[in-house]
Amino acid sequence: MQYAQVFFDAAKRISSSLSTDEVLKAIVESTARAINAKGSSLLLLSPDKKQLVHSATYGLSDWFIKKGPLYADKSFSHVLEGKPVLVLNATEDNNVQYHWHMKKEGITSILAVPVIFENEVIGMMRVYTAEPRRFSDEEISFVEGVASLGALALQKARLHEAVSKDLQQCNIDLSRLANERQNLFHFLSMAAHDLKAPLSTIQTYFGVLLGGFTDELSTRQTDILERCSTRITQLLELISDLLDISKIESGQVVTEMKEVRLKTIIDDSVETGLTLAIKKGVELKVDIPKRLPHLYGAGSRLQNVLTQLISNAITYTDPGGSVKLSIVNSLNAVRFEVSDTGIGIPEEELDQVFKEFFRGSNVKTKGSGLGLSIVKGVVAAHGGDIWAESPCPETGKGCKFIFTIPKQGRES
Amino acid sequence: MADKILVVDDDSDIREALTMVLESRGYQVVTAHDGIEGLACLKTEKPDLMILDLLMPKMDGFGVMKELRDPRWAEFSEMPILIQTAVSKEASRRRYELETGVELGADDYIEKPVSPDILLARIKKLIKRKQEA
Repeated sequence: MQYAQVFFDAAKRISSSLSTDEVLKAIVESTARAINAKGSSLLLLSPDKKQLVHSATYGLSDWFIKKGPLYADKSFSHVLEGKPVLVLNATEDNNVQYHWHMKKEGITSILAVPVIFENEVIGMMRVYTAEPRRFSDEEISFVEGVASLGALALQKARLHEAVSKDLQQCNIDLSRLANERQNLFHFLSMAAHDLKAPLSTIQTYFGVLLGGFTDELSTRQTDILERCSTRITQLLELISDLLDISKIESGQVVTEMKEVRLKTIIDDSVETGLTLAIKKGVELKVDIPKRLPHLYGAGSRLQNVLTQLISNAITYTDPGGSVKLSIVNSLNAVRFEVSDTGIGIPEEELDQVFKEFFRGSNVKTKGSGLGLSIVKGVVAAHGGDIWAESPCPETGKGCKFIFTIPKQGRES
Repeated sequence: MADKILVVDDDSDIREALTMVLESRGYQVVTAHDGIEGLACLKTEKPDLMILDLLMPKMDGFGVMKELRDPRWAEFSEMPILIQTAVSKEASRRRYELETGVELGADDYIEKPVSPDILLARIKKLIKRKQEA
């Protein structure tokens, strides 16, 4: 009955938040008490497996514990092979290390059982009695049982240690990665700036030549210079997109946020959109509520997002088609929808359109493939969502881009 | 007499290109390649308008704008300043505000690459506005 109580208490302690040292100490103590022994100890093999080191003791003097190192030599071979060993008279047994200390400590008999962990002996548990004692099979089984609970406690501690170590390493890796990512975007931004300056200068010179500020050019020369100038413009747009991406990725958008008037943003985007739509022969419809809230956000970035979506819609819609901008002002967010009757997006590409450098398989116009990545980055920086649907559910044609910006400002 | 324009830019090609454009329309052009030289030029040349680059060695355009706020430069307080910048107007303004706590008091911005027609139109407008004032 008492043995069962020892097992029960030990198991309870192992599953508690006690430290391993406390658990092992309680185990050796209750073992010694249950078996009416003078003392008990749990010894573990050192990492090099050459010594046995006291991990927890009960009923032994400090002097005895600190007598010197216990070597895991042939005197322990039986236990270390996984078998229990009984030494009836330790004081006179030459095979027992420090046998002369035993007498002084008042130890006569020793029972030693292996502590086994994942089929490997990792140490041993010893029970010491003052009187000569032949331990019964039942007692030996009991100590073996307690020793395996000790192994369980140690296993729990080691797993815990390993997990915390892994977690710590993960955190280190994660912050290093974040750091490297920052460095990369810093590098990208520096490189883009350095590319932009000379290209701007070249473009200015093209402007001087094409603007007739020098000698008169032949038609052929003008044509070639215009082509060059177009190429430089495309390069400058790509660089400006790359700069935008690195700004978004380095979290700069957040620093630009303040309370902004949504009406101004929408009006400016619609104005740009109308110019483009008229030029292309596409109808631009708008469905905007009269009352619009103020938003907390980066005004010029949000305007770019809306302008980009409207301009994309017009670009991919043939003359005669239409583009529609709808704004829905709900309780917690403003929802922006830009739909068109254009070429649409193949279903399998819908989740890829926001990826950097992605170009739709049905798209013929030139572009950097960064526009929608920037759009997504800006929306995400505002805590909003963006997605695309194709065909547009209402018309069954073209596609529809929807994004939401959470509200924090007041109604106006 | 022709209006005098001071171009402050560290890029010699930009100074050259802007000079060609401005001179073709009869403006008198003087140039400086950094902020310190630019301020010295202001005193000696007394231009009617300044085109100022923001990112320059020694003293940059932000430094020039800050310096000009000092009462010692009061005689230039009415001179229009056209900022030309490789970064967006928003970003330039924000950086100045962050650094000085005051609004960047430039009269107009022009983003690089500078288109000659836009540049001329802006200058014409700024000089006209100054004369009407």
